[in-house]
Amino acid sequence: MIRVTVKLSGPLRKQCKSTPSSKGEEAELKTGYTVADLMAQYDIAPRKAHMIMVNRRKADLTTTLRDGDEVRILPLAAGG
Amino acid sequence: MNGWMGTILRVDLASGEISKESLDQEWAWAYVGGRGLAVKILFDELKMDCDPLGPENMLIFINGPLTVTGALCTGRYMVVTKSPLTGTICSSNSGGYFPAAFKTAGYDAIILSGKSEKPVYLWIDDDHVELRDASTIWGSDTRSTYDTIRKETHKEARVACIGPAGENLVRYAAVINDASRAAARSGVGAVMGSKNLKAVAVRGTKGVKVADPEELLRSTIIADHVKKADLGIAFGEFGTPLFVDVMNANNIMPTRNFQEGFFEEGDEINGAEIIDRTLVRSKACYGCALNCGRNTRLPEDAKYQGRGDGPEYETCFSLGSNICVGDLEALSKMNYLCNEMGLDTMDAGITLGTLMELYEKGLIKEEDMGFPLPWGDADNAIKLLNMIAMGKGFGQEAAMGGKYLADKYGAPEVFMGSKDQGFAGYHPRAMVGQGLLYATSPEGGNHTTGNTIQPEINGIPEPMDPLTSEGKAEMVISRQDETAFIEACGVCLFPYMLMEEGTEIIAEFYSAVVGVEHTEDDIRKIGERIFNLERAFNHRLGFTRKDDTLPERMTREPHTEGIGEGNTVSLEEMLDKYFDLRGWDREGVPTEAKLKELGIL
Amino acid sequence: MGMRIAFTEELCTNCHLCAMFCSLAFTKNGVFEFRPSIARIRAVENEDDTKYVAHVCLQCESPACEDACPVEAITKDPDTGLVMIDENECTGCEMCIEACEFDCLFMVDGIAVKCEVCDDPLCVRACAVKALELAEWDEESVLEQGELYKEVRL
Repeated sequence: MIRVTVKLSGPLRKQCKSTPSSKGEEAELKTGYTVADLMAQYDIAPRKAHMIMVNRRKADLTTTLRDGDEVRILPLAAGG
Repeated sequence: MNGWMGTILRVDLASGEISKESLDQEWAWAYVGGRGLAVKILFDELKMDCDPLGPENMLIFINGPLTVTGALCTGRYMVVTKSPLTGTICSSNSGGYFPAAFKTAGYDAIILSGKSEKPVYLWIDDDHVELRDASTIWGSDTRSTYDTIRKETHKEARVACIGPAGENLVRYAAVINDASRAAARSGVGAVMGSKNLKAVAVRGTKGVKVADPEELLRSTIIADHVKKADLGIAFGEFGTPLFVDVMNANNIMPTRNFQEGFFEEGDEINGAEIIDRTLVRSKACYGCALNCGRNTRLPEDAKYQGRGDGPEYETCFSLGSNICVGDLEALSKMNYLCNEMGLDTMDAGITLGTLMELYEKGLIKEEDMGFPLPWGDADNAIKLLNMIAMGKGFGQEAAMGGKYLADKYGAPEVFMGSKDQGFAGYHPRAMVGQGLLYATSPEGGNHTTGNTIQPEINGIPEPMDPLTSEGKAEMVISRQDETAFIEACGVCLFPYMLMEEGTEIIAEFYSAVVGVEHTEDDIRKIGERIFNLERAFNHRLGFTRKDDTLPERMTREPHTEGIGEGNTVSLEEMLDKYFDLRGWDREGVPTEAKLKELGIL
Repeated sequence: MGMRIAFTEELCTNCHLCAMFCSLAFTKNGVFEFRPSIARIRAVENEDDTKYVAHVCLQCESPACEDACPVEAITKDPDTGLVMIDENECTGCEMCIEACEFDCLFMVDGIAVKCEVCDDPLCVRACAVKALELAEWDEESVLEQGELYKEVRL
């Protein structure tokens, strides 16, 4: 098993296990899990992730996660 | 007349004379309203070399033909004038409820000229217009001004006013309407203050005619789709501050006066944090289905107290990441302060960022300011913002803005702006198209004249690499022209920006309101005309390519850790392409052929 | 009893689209206008900006406006339950407006008007947050909405 920090942005944070917050929560995953597996564990449809970051680097659904990683998943957003 | 009210109100503040004139229909077809029509009026009438803070400058409040119609988000107006901050033509945009009020009072525009001998406010109640004494409210903050004027005039009155900052001619003073909305940029509040005009209060009961109401009823269906789409959901629930997460992830969140693009404490000042700690409820401008507005209040046990709208994303950058304040309470307090005092949060943050960098470098000292100003010192930042607004002590110098301070204290290279106006919350080193936008915007570091978020960050309509120059000139031109048209209509940019077919939809709504078919190409042409007119205006004032600049921090210093690490902005190569495509010469001057083609000459 | 326009305050965003689109339904003489000042539904925010309230006729069981009208221009239809104003009988005396403690009657061009529940209410269509709905009259929610109207006056 590995532990990663998960940060869900915007409306995606509704899927958090603990208090909804984008500040992050710890998640326990099977070793060798990818971002796609993580999203499935969080019940987030793959298409909802507009951007995936692992340790501040752009990642994608196929990226394999390692112990201590920080994963941030962002939806489509607008601003100005 | 469909769409337009057909009347322009003129007020000579020196003589007190108030007059009404018919809207020139030819000009309305060519320039529409808002930014376009106002710049056309100034192009023809303004004494170009006037002192922006002198009596010869003119100040125009202007809505558009789509304001208060069934098109999407139809509650916007612009404040247009010659800027005391940049010396260029400038147009500052705001929402809230005031724009709808002066439209339904029967006016497409209010042209204010001259300078009143004593502080006054303008009261408009449909056809009845008068100037009233404002001596008892001169010096008041914008919220108490709003409350007082409503009691003196009408409980339904909507008010746009200046606070102490505008009265004290702070170069980045704003015009605040409905107590919490801001036509903030380019120092338009200082122009109003220089005229001794405290406020414009309006109440209107007239109607806005539309040619094809069936087509406009469609807007309710479109609004429904937008609200159900992912972007709409995010926007309505979180507002613009959701963008903190996106900007940080993309290494675009300007931090430490644009030295970096990532703010460690971003999660402390984002949309989620606002919902969890300060949000009272979501709020919409007049006629808007998207409700991105943040009605907020600091909790009773917070270190600071206050309430109002915001902070918006731009403020999360300017008074948050840019000055290393990672505390939502302090950020909120500064936001409320700027609204109450009537300051542009963006240039306030750029000014503070400039000072903090100068202080770090030892170029400005505690003795100069009266207190230290290290990165993240929110208490002293709040203190200084007050002093700036009130014209006290070092605040008087700081009121001149970041460019002035950087020059005076020996490090001109630390001013993060263009044409003397500070940048918005997008770091050009990781979003180079936005860099080209900043450099070519009529009023300097402005982002609203063609924000490149959709193509460069969201990949709409197609993915675009934010780090390279490829395709950026075409894209920026397209964004600038579309935006110029939207800002001439008196509506909000957001819905049209959120939808891929936004330009097509506004063409349909415009046609439905005014009763004459306009295609997407037609409205792009109008937008191009408006943008070229602004360029011609600035050229008359002496602005050319030499002013279309970015600091060396953008063009020479490599970007810091994260996406786009090592990247710089290749501005000159983009400018060449940009000028060629625009049909301007390589000095950035619109050719006579181009101006004739657009009917400007 | 009948139908009415029900309003849920918690959802309201103060956008005024209801008043804008209501007014479109009532413009006359072939001219189509957005003129919120004639709308039969009016939006207002309270003093400290914590509540947003759309005032629209509750179709009261015992309408005070009906009682107050000196020329019997206002009647409650026994079948639909809707409180209707006969515009030909109305003299513009404003007694109904004074009598209504919910601020749901308005003067427009010299006569009193109020919501009489359109077949396809444009206010409901226009409200983007579903704060308005065509609902069956029920005493409890009408009383609750009435209390809100007394708290946040127009």
